[in-house]
Amino acid sequence: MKKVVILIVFSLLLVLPVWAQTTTIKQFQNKQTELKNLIQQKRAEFQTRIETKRTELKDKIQVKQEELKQRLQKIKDENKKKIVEKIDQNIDALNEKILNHFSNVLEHLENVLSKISSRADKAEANGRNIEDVKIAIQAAHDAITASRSAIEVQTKKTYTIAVSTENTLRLEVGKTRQALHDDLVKVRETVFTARTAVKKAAAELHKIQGIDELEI
Amino acid sequence: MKKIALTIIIIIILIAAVAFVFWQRSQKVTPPVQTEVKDDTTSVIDKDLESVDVGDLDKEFEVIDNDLKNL
Repeated sequence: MKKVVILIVFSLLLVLPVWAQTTTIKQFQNKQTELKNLIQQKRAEFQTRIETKRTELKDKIQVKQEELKQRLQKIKDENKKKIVEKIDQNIDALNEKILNHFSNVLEHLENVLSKISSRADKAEANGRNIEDVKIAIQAAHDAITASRSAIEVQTKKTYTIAVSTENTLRLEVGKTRQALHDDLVKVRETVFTARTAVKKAAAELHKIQGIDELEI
Repeated sequence: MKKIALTIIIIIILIAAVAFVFWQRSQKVTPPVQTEVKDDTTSVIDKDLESVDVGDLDKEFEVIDNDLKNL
């Protein structure tokens, strides 16, 4: 009987570490899959919201272009009229282009953040304290979400050019151009904040000794 | 008779334990984690972060600004 007990204990000693390691790997894989799914879901939802807003904006822009044509009737120079209409279209197109670019940057940052999370989880599985990294990762996720909200708000915007006289045309169009520029600068600030937050998370990760050697 | 039964139990437990260990190890040969392992090192993360290009806003406005000059 004693032999059986010893053997069971011996067998457990043999099996338990392997079982524990397998469980850790599975937990890690599940966590990574969950995170990946969550990120993809968030991105899809964001894209849907953006597309909806752009569709709504299209009608608005069309009405706005017609109204601009009306206002431009007081301008005699046909060339100037064409330029103003072109700028008006370019303003809306540029807004969309820049916001698309910012969205891509945020996706890129999110991918980097996933890698930071993955490496941090490996460190945690190896018994390291990753509290500071976790806090930094959460802050970075929040910053990315805030930046996406800013993009959403900016997506809804269109810019109206005031037309008074031929002499003031340049100034008036310039004001509209500046309004778009100022708004995009504000959105860009949120992207910078997100990038800084991801950099902070990476810096926290660096503080864990031998981080690149920790595997599961 | 009792000794034989005991020996059989011992052998079965041993075989089961060894089989379990081998089975678990074979499961670990190609887990998906291994494919992701290499791209989450800090050097890859740093490189990825360096490649983030927020863009040059003023450059993007050049076309509009050039048109503005003609008004």
